Amino acid sequence: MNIALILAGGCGSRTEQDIPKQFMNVYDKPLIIYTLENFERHPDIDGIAVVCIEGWHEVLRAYASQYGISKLKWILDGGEDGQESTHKGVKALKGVCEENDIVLVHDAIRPFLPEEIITDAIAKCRRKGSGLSAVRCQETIVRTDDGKSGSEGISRQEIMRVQTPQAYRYGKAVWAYEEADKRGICGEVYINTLMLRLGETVYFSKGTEKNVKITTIDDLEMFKALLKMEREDWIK
Amino acid sequence: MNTALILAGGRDARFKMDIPKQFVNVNNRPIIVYTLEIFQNHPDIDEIIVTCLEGWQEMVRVYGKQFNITKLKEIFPGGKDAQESTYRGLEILKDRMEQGDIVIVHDSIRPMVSEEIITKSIKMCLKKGMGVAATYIMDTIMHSGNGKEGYQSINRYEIMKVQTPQAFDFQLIWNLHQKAIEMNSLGAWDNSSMITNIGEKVYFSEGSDLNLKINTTEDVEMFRALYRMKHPEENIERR
Repeated sequence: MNIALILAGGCGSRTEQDIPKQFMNVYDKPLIIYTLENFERHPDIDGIAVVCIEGWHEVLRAYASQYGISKLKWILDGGEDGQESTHKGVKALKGVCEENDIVLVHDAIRPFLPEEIITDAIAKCRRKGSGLSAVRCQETIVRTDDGKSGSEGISRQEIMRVQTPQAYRYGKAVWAYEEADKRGICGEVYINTLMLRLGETVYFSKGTEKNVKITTIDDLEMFKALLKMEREDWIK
Repeated sequence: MNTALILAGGRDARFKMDIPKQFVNVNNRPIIVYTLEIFQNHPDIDEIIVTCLEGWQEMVRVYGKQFNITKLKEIFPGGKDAQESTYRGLEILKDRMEQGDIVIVHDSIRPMVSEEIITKSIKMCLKKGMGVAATYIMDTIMHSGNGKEGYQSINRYEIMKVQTPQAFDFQLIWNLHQKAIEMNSLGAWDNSSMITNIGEKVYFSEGSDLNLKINTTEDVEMFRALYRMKHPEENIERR
């Protein structure tokens, strides 16, 4: 069984809008619905859980129903921070998922997701224990202490930009959070960096530049353009 | 005086069209024209010179005339890479530049650069001798040599992703190029990596993720879509 765990607990302080990013509308549809549709459509996804920001559960329920997101089975409360939110999501699936099932953690604010990205994350996870969608950088990278200057370049061939979805064996995800509690580790917003902090190796799967993370209004423009491109493709 | 040096000398073997990226049409104009127009319209840019891929100079000249790029003063052959192309541009400018003059290097394949980003790079250059547009990466970053597995993350606030425009005090960038030649440090694909290759410092100015770099045919489509969203009045017919 493969369950998508969508992280929608954030409040989007950087867009400086009152509406949380994941609920901003693009062509009259909340961003999160675009995200959910990708998982709804995917034949290998069996269920969807959403960790949702307080006060928006009913909105999510209504829109999910409207847009036929039938695989959405759990809407959960968030935590104090990213680590707690993801932990809550992983815990909530305890009765549902077995050790060797796969949980795909994904940012609600990454609405553009070709099917093959989800497929490859699951495939890599089955083979290696994890599949984190990732891409190389296309630009020159320079190390910096203060964001103002730098004198050390880093080769593009040395680093990977890690996106979501990130597929993990469920048993491993549970272990990671229990271990974090045991060791008193906190403030690891992302499960992938938590895994690294616990000394684990993670494995990369296919990513794409088009998998934009909506953090600014500019990013919304990019997403709209991507939608337009898609639409024009099938109009042809 | 502030001179824009537009890099259009490259031919990307990975680009899946016979037409070089910088000359692909979007709404009936080659991408390079969009770039030139932004610098033409910028109040702080006095002149534009273009390093151009062999065989395409005439097209640039003609389109420059057609679109009133009156600041375009010189079109000259590119080099093997951005470092060499830039140096050729600097050589051409050497006799004309005075103390305090600035050269702003910019990829022709970044047609969405905003006036503000250019202004900020010039402002930083006036303060620090250079202003290289850059942004943080918003994803998690991990070390990975083979691209297959990762075991160590990098704090994303400890690295910058570099773009163009890159504004340089002329004398400073000239000296940096001389140093690179003396040290036999050649072949850099952009000026900031040439600078770090010789152990010197790069000063950043504000960049933008909307400052799209056209690498693939999909990027061309993206630019087309973004441009049409902004200019619905142009209403190009689909064939």
